[in-house]
This record gives sequence, C-alpha cells and structure tokens, in this order.
Amino acid sequence: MNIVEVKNLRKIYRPRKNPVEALRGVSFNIAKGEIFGILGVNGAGKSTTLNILMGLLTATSGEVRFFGQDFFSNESAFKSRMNIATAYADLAGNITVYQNLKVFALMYGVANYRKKIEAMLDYFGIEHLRNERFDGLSAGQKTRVNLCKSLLNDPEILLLDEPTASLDPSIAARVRETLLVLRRDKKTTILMTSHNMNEVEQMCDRVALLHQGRIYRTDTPKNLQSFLRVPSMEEVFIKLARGEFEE
Amino acid sequence: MIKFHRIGAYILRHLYEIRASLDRKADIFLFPVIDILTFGLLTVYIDKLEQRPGIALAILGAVIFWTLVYNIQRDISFSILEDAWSRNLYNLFSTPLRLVEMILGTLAISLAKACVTIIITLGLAWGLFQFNLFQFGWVMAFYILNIFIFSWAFGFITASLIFRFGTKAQAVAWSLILVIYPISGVFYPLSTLPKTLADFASILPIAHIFEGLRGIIIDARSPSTGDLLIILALSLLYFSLGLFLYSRAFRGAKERGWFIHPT
Repeated sequence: MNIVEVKNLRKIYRPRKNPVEALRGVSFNIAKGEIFGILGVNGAGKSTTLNILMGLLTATSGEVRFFGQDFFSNESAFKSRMNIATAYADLAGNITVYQNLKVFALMYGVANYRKKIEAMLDYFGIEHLRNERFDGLSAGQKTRVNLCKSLLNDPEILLLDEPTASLDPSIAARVRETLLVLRRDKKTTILMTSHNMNEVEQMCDRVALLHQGRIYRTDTPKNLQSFLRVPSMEEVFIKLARGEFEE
Repeated sequence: MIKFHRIGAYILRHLYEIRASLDRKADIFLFPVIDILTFGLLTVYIDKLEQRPGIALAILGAVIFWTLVYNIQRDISFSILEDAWSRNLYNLFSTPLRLVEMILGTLAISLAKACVTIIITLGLAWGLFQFNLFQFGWVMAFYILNIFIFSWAFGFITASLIFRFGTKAQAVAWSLILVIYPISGVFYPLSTLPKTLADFASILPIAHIFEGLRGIIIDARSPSTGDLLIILALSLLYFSLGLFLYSRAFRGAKERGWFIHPT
C-alpha cells in the first residue's frame, strides 16, 4: 500500500516577477515501511519537495496524498502523524534542550513526554545537554537534538533532510541504525535526502534522481548503478550532477 | 478542530522565552516602571504649577494607557520575530499547530504579560502618586478592554508586514505604532491637532479613549453610550482587519517559503 503519493507536483517561486520553476511535475509513490531517497545537486528541488510535503511551503499545483487522503485539505491532521529533521533549521536558541523538546512533545500531544524525552536524549548520547541552551550547542549536537525532536511523536512518516550532516561517523552510524530499526519494528515510512552516497546505498530501498526540478529515474540503488553502468552511487550522483541524464 | 494542548505548548514556548531573556523581562517589568516614575514625577511638578486640577492625573492615566498600547501591539509581532531570529519557524510550522491555535496562543500570552504590566503600573501609580485609575469608575475597564482589542489589531497588522517583508522590516514591531502616537491625542486634546490630522485621529479608537479619559478626569464628564459604542465598533473593525491581513500575509509567507528562510 502506498502511504505517500505525489502527483505532478509543481512549484514556481515569484510567479509574476522573475519566476523560478523549482519543481516541474514531480511524481513518486512510497510504500509503507519503505525508505525512499531523493538525490540531486543543490537547487535540484529536494528540499522544496520535502518542505511541500511537510506543509511549510505551498505547491503551485499538483497532488499530495498521505494514507490515501488529500494532504492539502487537512494538513494539521496529517502533520500529527509525521515529523521532520533537517540540518538547515534550529530549535529555539534562547531556551534549553529539554524545554525545546517539551514544547514540541506537548505540541504533538505526546503522552508521558518526560520519559520519552529522557529516553531519546539517552539514546542519542546527549542526556548531559538537557539543561544547556540550544544556541550553545555544536552543529553535531544540534543535529542530534533535532533527531530527538523528529522521533518524539513516533511518526508514521519521517522526512529527513541531510539527517547525518555534521555528525561524527560513530553517531551517524547510530542514527542510521536507529532509522533501520524504526522501519523494521514500527514500519515507519522514511523519505530522506542526503549527500552521503554510502548512506543512500546502505539505507534506501529506492532512490529518485532529481535534476532541475524533474525526476529522471526512480529505482533501487543497485538497478540505478546497472542502468548507468557505474560501480557506485557516488558515480550515479556525479552523472546526475553533470546532467548526463538529460534527454 | 482546535487542540488546546497545542495552544498550551505555544504559550509554554513563550513563557520559557520570557524566563530566559533579559530583554523580554525588561519589556514587562523595567520599561513600564521607568515610564510611570518619569511621568509620575512630571505630574507632581505640573500639580505644583497650579494648573487646572486633574491635568496631572490625566497625564498619568494617559501614560498607563499608552504603555499598554505600546506593549500589547509589540508582543504580537515579537512572538513571530523570536522564532524567526532563532530559525525555529521551520520546526514550529512543521508541527500540527494551526494558524488559529497560534493566534489564540499569542493572544493568551499577550494577555498574561499585559496583566502583569497593568498590575505594576497601577500599583506604582497608586503607591507613589496616590492615583487610582478605577476611582473614575468602571468605564476605565471598558477603555482597557478596547485598548487590548485595538493593540492586538495593530500588532497583527505589524506582524503581517513582517510576514510580507521579512526580518528586514522588523523595526516596525517597535516603531510603527509611533506613527500614530502624535495624532492619538495621548497627552493633549484632539482639538490641538490640525483639522486633517484630527479627522484622521477620529477613526482611531484610542484617540477617543484618550479624549474620554481627559473628559472624565479633568472635566468630570462621563462619556455617552454613543461615544463608547463608537470606540467598541472601531476597535472591532480594526481587529477584524488585523486578523484578515495577518492570515492573508501568513498564506503569502507560506507561498514564498518564508518559514524556511525567514530573512
């Protein structure tokens, strides 16, 4: 069953003055429990897609369906079953890690939030930071707090924009392991972007290659490599970046 | 459907902000105290000049009212700016929080902060200068209610400018209200203004409120029911306009992706 259905999604910034077409009819489906990756160079439209799917940006046209229902007609109801972690946004800087997580836990109506927050902090090895102000943390620590936030409500759909950016290899490995466990145990559906091709290869069931707002091909990492006759996802990415897919 | 746990979470986020920020504490506690002390001492001096009785008290009452107008309207746009400054809007708006819940949360936190300001200013005015605003009757409560409605409306209009033009327009949060300061007749009658400005002032409910305040304190003249209805009608009109512009600007901000890159 497809949990996420995206049909002909288009986004034009500044439609009246100097229009920029960020998405030119993006379509894909994601099945329950699938880990789906979107690959593309900076500006390809990856974050724009994620932001529309998270209700942070209005699409110019197109359709997004979650659990078989239209997302745009009742965003709030779907957002309580989703979450996002991004390397490109912070939590409130002036307040502590625990206070931030408490606010978000209450926002999602998480029952027994204290226990949940403590378990998350402990799991990501940042229990000692609970009373630190968020703006005093390093980039890697902020990424881990963001990941804690994204898992507070046990999301059925999890969007991840560069989830392991700024993390040291051991923590990054732990994050990947967590995501795989989530998928195995809770059938969480994950949509992610990453510039780490090993991560993509290791985690994603299928990958969409996005270039200049269009998806050129969607397939498993292995099939994409054989289709392009390259030995690694690294090479797939390089071909994509050079536009060697363009028809 | 409105969920109160989300409104509560939004309020909690701003209570934490007040606890953590010296600036926000100064807004609530320090600046109103400075205003009341400065103008309170001025009124003591004016009293000694043997002007018309009541002028000094009317000025003190006006300072209390203006402090409320300024603080309440500023709090509305600051609630957005605080999250924009800390790049938290992205995470905030990726939650199920709805616009109506955010508005209710903003109004609740603004109400709580303003109540603290009211208690401090009225307490100081009474303790230091023997001025009790409510000795002039409960019409003062009606005036305060309308100050809330109008100031919220003005705050929403200001916040909509921030949604539209981003943090580069953030100065409007504390300066736009000053545009109507001279024509609101805070310290002098509207008849002092040139006719065009006086005409413009007549569509501002706070101008009627300050006029009414002087009438009660200096001339012992109670406002007519018609005067009060005009104030209420104008306040509600501005409130509707403020909410309309705010929700429209919110949609525009989402269209442009401002919550993702709030610059």
